[in-house]
Parts: sequence; C-alpha cells; structure tokens
Amino acid sequence: MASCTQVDSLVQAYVDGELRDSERAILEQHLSDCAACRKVLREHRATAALMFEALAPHQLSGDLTPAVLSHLPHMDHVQSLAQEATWRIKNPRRATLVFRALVPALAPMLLFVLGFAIYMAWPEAESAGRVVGMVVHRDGGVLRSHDDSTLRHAVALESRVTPDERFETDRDSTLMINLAGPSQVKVDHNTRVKIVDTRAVNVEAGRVWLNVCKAREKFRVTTPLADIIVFGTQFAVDVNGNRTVVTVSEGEVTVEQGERFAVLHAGEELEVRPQAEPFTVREVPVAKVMAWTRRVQPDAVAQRRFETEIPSPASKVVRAYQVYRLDAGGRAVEAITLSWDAGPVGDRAGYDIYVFDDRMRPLVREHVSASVFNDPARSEYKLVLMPDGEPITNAGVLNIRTVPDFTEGRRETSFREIATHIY
Amino acid sequence: MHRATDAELVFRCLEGDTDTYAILVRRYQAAVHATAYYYAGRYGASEDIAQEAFWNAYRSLAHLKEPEKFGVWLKGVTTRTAANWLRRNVPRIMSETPLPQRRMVSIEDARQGPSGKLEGKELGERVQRAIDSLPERYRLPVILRYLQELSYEEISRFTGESRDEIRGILHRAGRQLRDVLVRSESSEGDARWHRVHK
Repeated sequence: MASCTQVDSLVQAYVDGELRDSERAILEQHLSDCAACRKVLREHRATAALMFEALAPHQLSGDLTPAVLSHLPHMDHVQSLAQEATWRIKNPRRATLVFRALVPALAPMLLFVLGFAIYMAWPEAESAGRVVGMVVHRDGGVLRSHDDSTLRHAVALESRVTPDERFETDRDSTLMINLAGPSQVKVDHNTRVKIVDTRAVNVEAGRVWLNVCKAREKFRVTTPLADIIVFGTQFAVDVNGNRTVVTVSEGEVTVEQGERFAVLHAGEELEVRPQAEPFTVREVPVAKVMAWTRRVQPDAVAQRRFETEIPSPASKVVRAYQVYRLDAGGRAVEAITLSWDAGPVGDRAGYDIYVFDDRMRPLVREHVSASVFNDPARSEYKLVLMPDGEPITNAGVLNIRTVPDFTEGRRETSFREIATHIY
Repeated sequence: MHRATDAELVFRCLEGDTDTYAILVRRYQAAVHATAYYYAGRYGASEDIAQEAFWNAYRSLAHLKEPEKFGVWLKGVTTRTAANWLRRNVPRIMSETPLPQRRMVSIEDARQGPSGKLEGKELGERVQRAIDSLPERYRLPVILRYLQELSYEEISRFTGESRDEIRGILHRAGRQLRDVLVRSESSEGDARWHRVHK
C-alpha cells in the first residue's frame, strides 16, 4: 500500500481532477483505509472551495471576443518588413560579407536540416488534411501510422485524427477517440484499428467498443471476417485470430459475411468464423462482456476541447433505411421487383436490399449498384429470391429493408412499389 | 473543422484572416483576464487590460518567433500591458482614493484573522492575503486555477512550465493555502517551517 507521504503528493491533483487513472486508484485505495489522509483530503477540498468562492466574483463576466475584434488594430508586420527592405537598400554593404560568401555552401545544408526537422516534426503537426476526430483518452503507449508510410509515432492526448490513420495499443495501453458526429471509439489493449472516416472504422485485431451517433449515413465497421453495419447504437467488436465476435448493448446491428447476414439486438452476440458455419445469435450478459470499457473514460478537458473544436453537424436524424412489408399470401416467391419513378438521375446512391421473413429472420441480401438508379432508361430492378436454389415458400409476410449506400452518390431514390413474383 | 494548433491560427492571422483571431481570443481570454487580475485586479481593470493585451498581441503578432508558443508569448504581452496600465493609471488612482497597498505578507500574518465562517469581503481579503503569502512563482498558476478553473494543461500552455511542474506548484501552493486558510487555528500546523521544495 502506498505510504501517507506518497499519497499526500497526490491529494491536490486528485481534488483538481488531474490524476491519472492508475494514481487515482492508488489514492482511493489508501483513502479507504486511512482516516488521517481522508482528513487531509477534506482540508484540501475545503481550501479549494474557499479559493473558488473568494475569487468567483472576479471571474471574467463575458466573452471578450466581440469587443476585441470590433477594434482590432493594424498589424505592424507589413510596415516592419517595408522598413527592413528600406534599410537593406540604404545599407547595401552592411551585411556580413563573409556570410554572403558562404551562402552557396550553407543554403543546401540549411535546406537539408530544415527538411529533416520538418519531416521529424510532421506527425505532431498532424493538421494536414481533414480532421475526423480527436484522441480524448490515452493511457500508456499508443502508436499511430498512415497507410502511405511505415513510420509510426506516439499518440498524444487531444491530438487530432485524420482519415485513414491506424492506431495500435500494446498490452498495457488503451485509447479513446471521439469522431465528429459525435461517435465514440474505445480501444482496448493489444488492438489495431484504422479510422477510415467519421463513419467507417476498420478493426484489424483486438477489441473495440463503439457508440455510434444516429445519422442518415450508415456506419461501417470492417473486420477481416465480417462487416458490421449500424446507424446509431452501442456495440463491441472482438477480432481474435480466426473469429470476430460482435456484442450489442443498445440498438440494432447488422453483421454481414459475404452473402450471409444477421441482425443483432441489445443483449445479443454473434461469433463469426471463416468457414460457412451457420450464424448463431446468442444472448449474453453484455455488462460483463463490456466490463473493460469502463476503464476507458474520456479526459474531461479533452472532451470539452473536442466539443468546442470539432463540432458535430446538427443532428438531423432522418432514418435512412426504409422497411416494406409484402404479403406473399403463403405462396412461393421467386423474386421481388422494386420500382421507382424515373426522375433526374446522376448522383443517386446505391442500395443494399435485405430480405427477412415474417419473424425478421434474414433470407437474402443484395447490393444494387448506383449505376442502376442512375440509368435514365430504368425504373425497376428485379431481385431474385432463391437462397438455396429454391423459391421462398414458408413466409407469409416478407420484410424488405432498403438501405442507401452513399459511397457512390448522395441522392436517395424513393421506391414507388415493391411487388412479389410468384413461382 | 478541427482543433487548429496555435501556430496554425497565428499563420492564418498573419495571412490576413482576422476572424481566426477570435479563436485565439476565446482560447486564451480566461488566462489573459486572470493574469490581468493578478496584476491589477484591485483596481477593477482586469477586463480593460485583457482587451488591450489582445490588441497589443495582434499588433505585434508578426514579431512572434515561435508561433507554437503563442500562449507563453501572450502571457508576456499581457504582463507588459498590465505594467504599462499600472504605470499610466496608478499614480492618478492613488491620488484620488487611498488604497490599501499590496505587500508581501508572511505566513504568520496571513494566519491571523478570524477563523470560522467567512463571508464576502472578509473572505476575499483573507484569500488575497493567503495568495500574497505564497512564493511569487506560485501565484499566477494559483490564480489561473482558482479564478478561471483552468486545467493543468491549459495553465502549462500559458505559463510555459511543464504540466508536471504546474502539478508540483499547485500541490505545494495547495498545502500552504490549506495551512493558512483551513488549519490556521490548529496548533499542529507546520506552516511556520513549511519547506518550499523546488
């Protein structure tokens, strides 16, 4: 157990909410056993309270920005540069001649040193390119890299995340990234994850937890074995060797592997393996599976900074996917036809079409390319439902879900009619 | 939209994008105001000085040699602005209204004073005495922390000391303030021989 002296050095930072998780654990453990240190803590808290109370009346009362900007003076750099130029013209011989003689030799060296320095410093100034998120928690060593470079660099708290960045934790480190939206990604030990964009993440190995904000556009998590498609939900993904496990704590998650797919709900888990073993969805104690996520909490300051610096678009939650119910009347169905009104084409999105039976058990999935909807000559698409080479006979009602895929175009198509073809 | 670094924002200002300066003002106004308060709070001029400091900083932005250390540089500008303001105004203010002089207060002085529930002005004065009794180097971080609730990271970015140094400073200052403000009546207090560690 930590000594009282060790603990004493932690108390102030504890009161200020500035301790690292590990230190906080040590301190709290000690406090639970030591009345003297609890007294010290109370005194520090009382002191802080007195200080805040006494200084509160003198706080900045409002935002200074409007007043400052409305009377912004002229910057004097133009003038100073002009003065310098004038001085040089007036004193052409004053510059050190020796230095001048060395310029041809020094310039390439200087350029090289500068280039090297910029190259080395580049990752910290990772502002180049679009920013999709921010690191809001980092405990232990975490490395980041880009696809186009073999260099890996240490990750700092509050550093910004650009598209296609890969993050790797080791056996002691954890990480949390907030993505514009906002969505949250918690990364456990020994994990490799690539942030493709604000709504696309690639889990290459290890465990991540995601809290995805609702949006029109689907959020896709890619793993070596399966793709996970969500709109707004909380779930965890565990990629370990030749299996991927998806656990859902809130909302609904679609897991796809090739032609196969399954829809999971809160409290359910699916283990995907490479061979074509049947998908079996099972119920699990989610809190237990996700216990590790409680260790990974955003740093309060980083969180605040994320909120102010990376604003999320106003949440206009329009459900992007549509669900249609078709009464097959107990007859064998071999296909369905989706039809739409011919209208302006170009920039139309593609669609993923999912077909479920009356109890929402998955039957068939098909991706319809955007080119189909962008073809002015077309106004319908026939989707063949012969999952095992046989028509679907056992469904009284078919549930059809149409999910736009905005990667090829931004405009949605509204379906006028979905009809069944009887076998 | 992302959190631009100070250096990026400075470059954008230098390129003529005045709106960018608003981001820097918002980022640092709490720290600049607290610094102004530290120097001239008793004259009620903190906000005027803070504004003036931002104007001075903008005017001389091109002279900033290390844009990534904008915060530290801005602290220097604020200090100079406050000093100039005091030089211009204090003789006049002093001749108009006699004000209590700020002086170095020993821990013993600061300890004296009524214990128990303190209110309003009395509390303010007692806390002010306690802050004045701190070593010079501790005072600004203490004001930044307790006046504007800045995080260690934010304080560090403004004062130029590392986050760990700030943590050490606030730890030692916290102990001394505790001895002065909360333990002042207790006999076992060690404040009299309180060691100030580097």
